[in-house]
Amino acid sequence: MTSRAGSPVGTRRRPWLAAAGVGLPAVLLVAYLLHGFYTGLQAQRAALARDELAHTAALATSLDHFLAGLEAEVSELADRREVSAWFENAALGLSLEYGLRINLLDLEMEFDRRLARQLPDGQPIIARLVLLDADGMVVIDSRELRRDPGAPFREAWTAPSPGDSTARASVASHLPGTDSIVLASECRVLGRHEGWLLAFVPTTTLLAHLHGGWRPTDAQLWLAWEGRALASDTATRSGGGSELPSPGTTRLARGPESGERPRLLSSAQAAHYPLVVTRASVVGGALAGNPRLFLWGLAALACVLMGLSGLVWQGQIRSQALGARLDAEAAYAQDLVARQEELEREIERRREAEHDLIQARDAAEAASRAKSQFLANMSHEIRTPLNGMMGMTELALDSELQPTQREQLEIALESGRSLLTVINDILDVSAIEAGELHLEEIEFEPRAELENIRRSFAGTAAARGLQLTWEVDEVLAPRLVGDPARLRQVLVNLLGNAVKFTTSGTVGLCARVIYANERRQRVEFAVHDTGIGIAPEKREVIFDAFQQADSSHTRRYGGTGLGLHICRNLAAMMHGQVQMESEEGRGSRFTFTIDLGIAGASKAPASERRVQTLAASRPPLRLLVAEDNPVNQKLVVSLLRKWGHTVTLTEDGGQALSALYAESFDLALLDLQMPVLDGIDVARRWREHEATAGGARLPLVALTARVMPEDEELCRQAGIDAHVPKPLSSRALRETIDNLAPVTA
Amino acid sequence: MRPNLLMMLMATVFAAAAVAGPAVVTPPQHDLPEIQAAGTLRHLGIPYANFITGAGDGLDVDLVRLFCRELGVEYVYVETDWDRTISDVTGLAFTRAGGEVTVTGNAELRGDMIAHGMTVLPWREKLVDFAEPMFPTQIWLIAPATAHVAPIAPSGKLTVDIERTFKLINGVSVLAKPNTCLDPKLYDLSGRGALVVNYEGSLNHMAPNLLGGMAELTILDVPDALVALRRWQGKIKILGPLSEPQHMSAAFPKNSPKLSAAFAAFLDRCQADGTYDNLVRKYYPGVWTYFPDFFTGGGGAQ
Repeated sequence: MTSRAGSPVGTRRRPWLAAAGVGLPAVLLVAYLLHGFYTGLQAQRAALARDELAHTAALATSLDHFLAGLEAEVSELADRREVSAWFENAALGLSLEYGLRINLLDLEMEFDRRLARQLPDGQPIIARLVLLDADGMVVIDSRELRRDPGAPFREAWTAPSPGDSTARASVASHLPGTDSIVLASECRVLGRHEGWLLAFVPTTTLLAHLHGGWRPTDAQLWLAWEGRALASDTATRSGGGSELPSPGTTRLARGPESGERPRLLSSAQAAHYPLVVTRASVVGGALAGNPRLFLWGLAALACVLMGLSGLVWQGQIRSQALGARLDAEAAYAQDLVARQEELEREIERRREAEHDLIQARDAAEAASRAKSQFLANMSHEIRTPLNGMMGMTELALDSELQPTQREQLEIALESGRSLLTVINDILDVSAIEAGELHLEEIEFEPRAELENIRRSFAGTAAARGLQLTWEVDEVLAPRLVGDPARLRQVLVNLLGNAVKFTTSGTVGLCARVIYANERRQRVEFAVHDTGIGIAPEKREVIFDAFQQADSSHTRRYGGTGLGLHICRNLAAMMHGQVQMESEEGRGSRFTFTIDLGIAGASKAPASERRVQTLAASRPPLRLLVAEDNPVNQKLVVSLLRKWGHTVTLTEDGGQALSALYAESFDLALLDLQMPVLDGIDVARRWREHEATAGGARLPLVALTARVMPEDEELCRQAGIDAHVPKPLSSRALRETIDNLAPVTA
Repeated sequence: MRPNLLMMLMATVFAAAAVAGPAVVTPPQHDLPEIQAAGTLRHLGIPYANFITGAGDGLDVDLVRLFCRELGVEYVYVETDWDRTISDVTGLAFTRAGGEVTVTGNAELRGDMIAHGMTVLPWREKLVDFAEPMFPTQIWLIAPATAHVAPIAPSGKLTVDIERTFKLINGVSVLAKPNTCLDPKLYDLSGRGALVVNYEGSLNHMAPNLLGGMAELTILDVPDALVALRRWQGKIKILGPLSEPQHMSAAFPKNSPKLSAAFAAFLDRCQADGTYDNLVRKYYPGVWTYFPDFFTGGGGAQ
């Protein structure tokens, strides 16, 4: 019984104890966790509030400095000569009609200058300037510039009592009914109070200054002056339907709309002005919810789930992220300023570097021009006497001579040609380096060109006891497009070297097509010899200017060392390349590979036309020669008369032009550099005469020692048909005359 | 008999000389073709206000430089003074009595055109051809700020203002400069009771000499007065006008019609395209707006 009687008691106690034994620690644990989470949340909110408050205080300080700067500017304006001049001259009794208006106009110009200043986003800094005299009458108002002084000031601005001291008084106030802050500075002349200068600063300008070109999308600003709302960058005039917090405090506000995110409002006051800045930032996460509801919900959840620690951890992570975002915003602003300064320094460095580069470029261009001019002059001065020397030698060789005399004259002629080669090489190098060498794109017959080259080397090779071999690929197109003169120059150079450096054995050329389609052929020209060869360490050097494989070669074989340098550059200009294989003591093989266009079948090649022209019959011609150098006169006249032509000789451009007007000629040969009128002027004037007088076009040929590319262009522009360089090649001169002069068979 | 014959001969010679007067040779032509052939245009100038600053620039210097650039000739500045500027450009010596001018002989020809803020006056128009009006002016009476005399109260009618201003000079010493637009005879200063003090220095120095006590009052033309008002702020005051509105312009010899016509066309273009307005704004920033009708309305075209 006892045991039964005692049994219910024991049963009632055990659940309670069990509940207490299990529930109390659970409740304590939950309570402990809830307390921890709640205090953590409060700490996060307090930290956020501090950060927001600090940010808003920074904005208020910035605005304080901005207004102080403007106040200083207004004070400086009130102290300017334009202001004092007005008050001084008005005090002297000057009238607007006679003198005083100029002071008004000076004020107007100064006001215009101040009003034109803007923030980066285009907001005017000062919207209006008004100068009041000591009686409060308007002297000048930037809103009514053409109005004569003396009208009362309509706005409800009350002038403070002027100070007794000579110090300038300055006040800031908000004019009721306007959206402007008025900064007023006292005008004093010689210590006497004369009036007030008022500057109206729009409240929108203050907001624009706070944003400073960077505006976070989730922040809003309000301004208040002496407790009255002044401006806002949002349509609402208050913080979400409730009052704004007092300066130095924060408050969480919820918007009237359901689902609108809550915002944290923070306010701060400018240090020197009754101006309060309120800033609202949208708050997210756990901080946004009602803490009590959140806690109850969390408590219920905590009783079921023991994963509260996970939420605490999550809350801490969010708190850290929020703090990091605020830090990042501040760092971003600083970074922007630093980047701007770095950019400005970089711009300045680049500007200086650019200036230095321009100076260096100008100096280099000047030096290049001087060099080109020097080369042109040198070429002209050497070619002119060389023309006489070689031409006369050629003429002498055509006469009856003793064998010894003939040999001596042939050596003299060969020496002249060598000298001419040197000059031509130097000019080519100069033109290549200056970028003034331009390639032609004309049709030519490659087989005929190669045959001409073979003929020109046949005699020399035979004389040196060398065998000359010649192979031309059968598939080589009959007509190609390119620059045959420069192609010839490269091949003649390579062959010339082969012959020069080979004492026995074989020298030869092999032209073969290594690739072709319907429009182009890639041709490899290989020049080979059994000469002295080139040492491996010299194989690259020989392509440099003024370099030979061995300096002893210069003494033994002659040459300037420019030939291969020119060849490589010409090949590069033709988009080809020169390569070399060599074995010392056994010979060399130079290959020159280029792409050449295949000419259309309908067009007759230039070389063919020339042959046809040369084949035509040629009666004596009436030729005009304009040449001032006596030696060259004798040479040209002798050649032309030898060919059976009638020659009229003139000694300067003026005589030449007179002769052209007076007589009829089949062709005129003009030296370019002559007294009175040069050849270019003669050609230009004669072409103008032809244009007005009509009649047949007279062929004009330039005979000149000026052989730079720009000289040829000058001749072409002046209407000269052909350009024969000095020293004269009798063959070239004859071919030119035969090509240009009318055929009357 | 002999003495009588000798006296008759001498009397005849003196009479002939008196009738004929000095021989005047037509000065050499220096019209546009001659100037272009020579390749230079000689600008006669006098440092005065901001027309010619004396530092190598000025409103008229800039304008004539532009004219030379258009003609393709070199600009040459020749400094002269107010007594000889017209002789320098015409090559003629002359005397003047009031508004009457008598040519008395030849003078050295030193320039091709005048441009230094010279006022268009009737006696000058008898010797040179002026271009269209280039700058408005007027003669004002000026006093030191410390003088007891007060500026007139404008009446709204210029003739009344002039009369009020003339009353201020009665019995007072007034600084003026003969042979210029400030010639005391042009405004009959003596006749109106002023004690005229003829000034011989540069026009630019009249205001400081007034402040130095050379006379109680001075006359100045408007451009110079406005420059002085800025330069000696608070030290001088303008009392009122002594003349009707006048104009300043460039002047050419009467035997240079082509040069004169070329300048007229050039000036038209400068006024039409804003070049001239920009120059006035540069050298007379306040004056440009002081005479808005003259400058914005085309100035010389009016």
